[in-house]
Amino acid sequence: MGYTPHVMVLGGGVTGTAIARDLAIRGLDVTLVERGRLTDGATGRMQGLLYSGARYADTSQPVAAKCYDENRTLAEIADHCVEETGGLLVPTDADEATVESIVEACEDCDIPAEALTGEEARSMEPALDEGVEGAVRVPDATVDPFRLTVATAKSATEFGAEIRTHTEVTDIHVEDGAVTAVTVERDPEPTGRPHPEDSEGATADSTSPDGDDPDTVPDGGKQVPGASGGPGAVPPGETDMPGMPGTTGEERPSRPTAGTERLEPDYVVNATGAWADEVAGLAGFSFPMHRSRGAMVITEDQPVGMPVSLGATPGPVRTVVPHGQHAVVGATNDPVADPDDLDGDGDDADRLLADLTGVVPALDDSRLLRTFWGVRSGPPRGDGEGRRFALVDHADRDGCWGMTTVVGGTLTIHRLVAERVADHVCGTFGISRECKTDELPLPGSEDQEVLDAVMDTFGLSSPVYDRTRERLGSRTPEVLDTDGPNPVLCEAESVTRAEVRDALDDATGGAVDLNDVRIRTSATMGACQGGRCAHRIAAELHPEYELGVIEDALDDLLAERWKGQRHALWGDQLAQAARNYDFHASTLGRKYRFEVAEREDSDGIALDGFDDGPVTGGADQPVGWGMRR
Amino acid sequence: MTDDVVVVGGGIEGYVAALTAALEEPVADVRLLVRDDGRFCHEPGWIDLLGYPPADGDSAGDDDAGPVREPLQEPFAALSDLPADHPYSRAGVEEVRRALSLFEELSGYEGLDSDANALVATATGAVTPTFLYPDSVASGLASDGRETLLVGFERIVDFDAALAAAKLDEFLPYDVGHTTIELDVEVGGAEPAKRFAEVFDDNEELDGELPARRAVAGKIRNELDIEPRIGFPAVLGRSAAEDVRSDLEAILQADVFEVPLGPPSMPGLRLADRLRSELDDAGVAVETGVTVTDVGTADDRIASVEVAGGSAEGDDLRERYEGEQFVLATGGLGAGGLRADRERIREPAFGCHVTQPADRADWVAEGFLDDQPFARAGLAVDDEFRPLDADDTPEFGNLRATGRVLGGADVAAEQSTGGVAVVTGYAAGQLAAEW
Repeated sequence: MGYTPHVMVLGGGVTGTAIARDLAIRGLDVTLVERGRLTDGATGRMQGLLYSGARYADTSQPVAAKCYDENRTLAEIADHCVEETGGLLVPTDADEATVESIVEACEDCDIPAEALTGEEARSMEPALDEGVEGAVRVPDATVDPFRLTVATAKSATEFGAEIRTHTEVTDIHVEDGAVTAVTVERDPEPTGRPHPEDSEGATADSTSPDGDDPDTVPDGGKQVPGASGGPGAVPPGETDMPGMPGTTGEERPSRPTAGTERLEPDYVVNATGAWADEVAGLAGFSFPMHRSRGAMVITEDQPVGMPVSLGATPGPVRTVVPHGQHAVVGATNDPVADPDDLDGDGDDADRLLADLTGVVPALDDSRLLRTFWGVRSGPPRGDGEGRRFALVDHADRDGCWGMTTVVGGTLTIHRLVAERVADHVCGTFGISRECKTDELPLPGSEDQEVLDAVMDTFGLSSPVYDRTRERLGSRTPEVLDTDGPNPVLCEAESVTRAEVRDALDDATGGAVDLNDVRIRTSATMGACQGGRCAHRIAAELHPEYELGVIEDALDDLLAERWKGQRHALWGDQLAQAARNYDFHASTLGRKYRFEVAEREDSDGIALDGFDDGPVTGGADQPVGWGMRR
Repeated sequence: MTDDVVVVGGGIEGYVAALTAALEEPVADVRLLVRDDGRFCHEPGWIDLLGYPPADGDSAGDDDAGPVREPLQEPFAALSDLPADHPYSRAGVEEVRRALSLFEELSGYEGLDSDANALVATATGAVTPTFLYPDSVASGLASDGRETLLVGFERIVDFDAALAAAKLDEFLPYDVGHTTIELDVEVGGAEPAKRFAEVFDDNEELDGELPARRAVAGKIRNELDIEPRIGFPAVLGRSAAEDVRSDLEAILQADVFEVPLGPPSMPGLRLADRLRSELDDAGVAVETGVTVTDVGTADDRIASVEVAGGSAEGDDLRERYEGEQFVLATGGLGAGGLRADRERIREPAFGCHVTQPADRADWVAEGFLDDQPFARAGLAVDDEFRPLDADDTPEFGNLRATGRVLGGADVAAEQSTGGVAVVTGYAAGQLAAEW
């Protein structure tokens, strides 16, 4: 029979989107829900280092070998997200024996590694301190986790998956030993952007024009596959398949409250990372998890040309990872209980730098743009902490059919984790399709050569074009091919108006906001941290969105930028913050908004009593001239 | 050689201090040491006096305070309510008036005829109170109730005319329309605002056909309804700005005004040019491209400053300037007149004591546009504008501090940045000339 299972994936990090992609490629109906934006959890808060596996080579061979395999695979399928920089490991005791033993361990795992003297290491990476006596060159690479996730999500939708952001799981229903339904609640006013139905996701012809009215949402144009009557719904007569959960075509839930919706998937994959236990708790399941937080800082300059790691064995490793024109320095490692409460204080930045300046002295003078905290999570501690992952099938563990939770994993091996999950889900349904995610390239990574031919086609000076191409890969021509001028909106990151508009149009699931645009384009992520360019990005929302929505979106973007920088404000970055404050408070008049207070009078604010100008104003005017009211 | 007055710092307060000293005491030798014209790139061009009652500095996170405040209509009336350590209080209300009137004369600005604040529209479509303003802003006052057409240029991205007009139209009691035009200006790697200003100054031919001013007017003609005034982003020339505007006004038969943008701000640079020519006329010696690297002291007085830099020959130049009186006008955190390391905010030129929250974590507020403690950090001064040390005694007998390096007020929040620069520059210039 033409039965297509509908799988709901919870979590829009790199792992969740990769699971959605894998399952969609194998032909399943997939709906992914994410409570915030894509990458909002751990994915968006990491160093962007694609491990070579070398650092586990001596303690955990299989993990190391898998790491390297995946490192190679990602470089193939996502070459516009990955930069093959190579990297250096600087052991804490960099004597010859330590260096050699790491190299030997790498050889055992088929990871190409090379022992370097201090001299050789410095000729490769001049930023290294004179005191460094030896290092190992390893095939580390850097990866942009934002673009990787967005490209993965885009691919998933191209294969038919539906991705809904700003949609939170509020309940997981269990009946008779099976997961039967998931209640989701969509943020009624996702920051800076109206409802998803307004843009994409819904079919254009069936979308209610009143998408802003929450009451029209659940039964509007969009049908959820597998939910009652939708395109992927279970045909009548198959609802009582033995061993299958009771997805019934007839059963209609009572009309949901505004913004909530009850979905009835055939299977649920919980890929919510550090929130996995909390989400599984909605179904009444519990299991132990390990969680820790890590502080990272972003420097304005790029002190190193390749990732430099201090300390080569598992444990506290500090790394400087170059990204574009910046570098991400990380990470501290402190246990944390609540993944929603990660932020520490300015001391964390001081701590990080204290260790690393011994290896990369230039860091001492680096201007720090931002401090941020990420979360690691995984199965309870053992060896290889944080590098392991586990699939928890709640049928086995809790005697409840229909849901598997994935715990742990890393960015480097996320595709492999997704493959395992997809294998497991397909196995559950007796589907034997092969995984293709290791060979199908992600959107944007094809045809790099073609790009070189069209360099000057779009009226951009070449550094701007180069930066754009680094981000968009083979999609560059399509995005930049616009009518009319295409000025640069964010100078520091070379982001043009066309790219911002593309990011707004291309929001997976529809519910984007300006932080989503930032994630896709890097706009506002340079030295000014949005102070000079955020209002330009926000202006692109006009006239599609209401004035209040645009203003709120701008405030939210600036608030997010401020949150990250305020813990490391001194030197040049405090000077920049002071100029930003002046610009917004004085020149733009954005600190106080007296106009809001005065608007109760529908004729507008009262101008009497203010200076109306030297010559032309008020009394000198013929009555009625220019005054329609 | 010994100067009578040495002014260190090239913002509005430094220019005004040097001019005041030179005009007050025409026989005095006055020298102005300037790093670059960068600070004027950040000036909107208008001079605020006091737009809002001062923030108390504690309202961060205070929900009751909220972002909604009413602007002051009569700024002079509010001056006497300011706290004693506010820079205006140090100067005194009469001095404020005299300073503004001198500045009006020097700059050719308008606004002092009325004691009231004017309201001006900003690039993002808000309205903000100000006091003195250049001709290029005068006909565009939001508090002048005439209908307005806003014109945007596609490549000048700081000003989205459609968005600004929509916002202004919503709360102003008259219609604000808009149009956005494309001008075929080859920007290349240049800063768009500077490039556009050049095109208008030189009236360059666009598309090889029409001169720029006529081309712009032609594109707007059809969009212009009965609006008696037209607002542009502030890129209408630098050296020939008056001609640009009057040409446009003649063709369009409407008043033309500008909306200030972020750096590089053309109205700010025009003010710098104007004051610079006044400095030349007043016989002030101006050294550009220099930074103070060392200070010579004797008996609690400044004897000399050593500078490095040099405008033309590169940065190997070192020079020592001796003087009788010194004025510190290097600006605040944004300009480098105050500088923070990880522990403290310092005043790098003379090493003066800086009043500031003790803990770095308390320099910044939780929200970007909350009242920022760092904005209030700065030098405390006595009534003669002499910086005070931690024990409230003057650091040096012959040093006066002016403008943004002063603490005690969040001038961006209360909208007094330009006024504080003018008034304290004037006061310090007078005191220095009196010695």
